[in-house]
Formats: sequence, structure tokens, C-alpha cells
Amino acid sequence: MKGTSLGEFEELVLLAVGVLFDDAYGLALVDELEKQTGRNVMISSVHKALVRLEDKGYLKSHRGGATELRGGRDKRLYRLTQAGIKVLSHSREVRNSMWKQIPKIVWEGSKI
Amino acid sequence: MKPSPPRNQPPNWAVRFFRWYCNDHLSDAVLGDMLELYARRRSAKGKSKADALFILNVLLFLQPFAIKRKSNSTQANSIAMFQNYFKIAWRTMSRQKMYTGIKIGGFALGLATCILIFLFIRHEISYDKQYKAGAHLYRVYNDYRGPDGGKWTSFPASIVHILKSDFPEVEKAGRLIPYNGWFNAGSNLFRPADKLENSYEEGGSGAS
Repeated sequence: MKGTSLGEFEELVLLAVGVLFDDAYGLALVDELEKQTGRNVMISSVHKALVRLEDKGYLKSHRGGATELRGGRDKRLYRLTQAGIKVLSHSREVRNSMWKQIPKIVWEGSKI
Repeated sequence: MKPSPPRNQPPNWAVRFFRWYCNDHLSDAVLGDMLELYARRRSAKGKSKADALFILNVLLFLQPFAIKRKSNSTQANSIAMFQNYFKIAWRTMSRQKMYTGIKIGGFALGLATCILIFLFIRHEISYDKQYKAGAHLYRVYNDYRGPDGGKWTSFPASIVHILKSDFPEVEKAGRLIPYNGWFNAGSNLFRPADKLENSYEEGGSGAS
């Protein structure tokens, strides 16, 4: 089905929304992602991912939290939906089960 | 010591450009994010760098997901309208085949005639363009009527004297005999006694 799979960056954004919980808006997510991954993250790519994830139903948003620094403009605050939580745990399960299926010899081989 | 303004603004045109292209869902929130980032950069890196980075942000945000679009319903409506036009036209045409045939055939004929006229005129005005004084060139021709009638361009050489005395505006005249190998008649070819090859010379009333 189109639109339900999760890209790598989208997954990171979803996780960051979870981490920030109550204050997950564009710039805070940029900071969080830069801090956690060490990559250089563009503000536009984060917003693009947020729009896509909201379309897919993994996030919901509301406005609020305007500050003087932002020229009195509202933030768009994101929150994980049930579907978002489900897709995150699903991707984690897939990863875990695939990790377990890698034979030990692979890890031992890498030590040599 | 001069007091610094309470809030420093990025270039106004960039803000206006962003507001112009960005859709309402994102506009306020993203602009707020960008201003917050701008304030942070401005105190860390200075105004000119923060301005440049702000402009870069605005330009990088110009992507399909952020761009304002007309609401879907009106778009669908106008497409449906044109679909309807084409459908109605097709039905009317297939109901009245004779009329349609005359009309389309007439258009085709008219268009083809126009194109042919254009090609003809283009050919006409392209005549003698390869000569520098092409506009000064004229051709005299025989129009002989009768049972053995026809048109041709070869004249007796002495015609040139009549031409020049009757029409003083004639500067030069030459004979045109468009047949191959007619003893080189009418040409200005000659061969000096000490040369092997023919030479060509302009003018000369004897050869006219």
C-alpha cells in the first residue's frame, strides 16, 4: 500500500517527536536531530517529513506556544498518534527479529 | 553606547517572498521557526551571515510540499468544464457529419491555400537575391503568339543597341541563352593567343 512505509529520516523524525513529547515543533526537532545523529539537518527537510507523516496519519498537530522571539507567531506542535506509535514499534520489531537472525559468525568474523 | 533594537529582522523581501509562496498550513509556524533560528544565528554569527542563511532557508523551503495551491475543487471544476466542451463538440460533430465535413474540409482547404500562397510569395521575393544589385536586374523576353507561339529569352545581339537608345536608364545588358553547349554563344569567354584556357571578361558591347 502506498504511503504507509517509513523512510529512514521519517523514522528519525517520528522518534524525535516522541522524545520531545510536549514541545515537538520544527526548530526543536532540528536541534534534537542534530544533537542525536550529528548530521546537518535542514529546517525544510524536517518540515517536509512532518507534512508527509501527518498525511500518513502518524502525527497530529495543533498550534500554540507563540513567543516574542518568533515574532509572536504560533508553533506547530506535533504529537504521535496511535498509528504512529504502532508503526514505530512495528519497525523496531522487524529490526530486532532481523538482528537476531544474523548468525554469530558474522560478529566473530568482524573481530578478527 | 547605543541601545540595540529589541528584535532584529531578516530582509523584508525574503519574508514577504516566503509568505507569498508558502501555504497557510505551514506559513506561520515555519516563519516562526525561521525567525527563531535567525535570532540565534544573528547573535552567534553576525547580521550578514544570518541574513544569508535566512535567505538560503527561504529558498530551500521552496518545494512542492510547501507551495500554496488552489483548492482542489476549483481545479477539478475547470478540468471538468473543458472535458464537457470537448465531449459536446464531439457529439455535435458526429451527429452532423455532412456539415462537419464541409466545415473542417473548408478550414483545411483555406489553411492549405494560405500556406501555398505564402510559399509562392516567398519564392517570388527570393528571386535574384544572390546578386548584390538584384533589384536592378531585369529580363526581356519574347512573347510570340500564334500557332507556333511561345516564350523565350534568346535575342539577336543587336537588340542591346535598341534597348540602350530607347531606355537610357539601362546600364548594362547581356544575352541569356539558357541552352547548354550552344557554341558558348552569348558568353564573354575568350582565349588570348598565348594562353591555353578561356578567360571571362565583363561588358564589351560586341558581345552584348
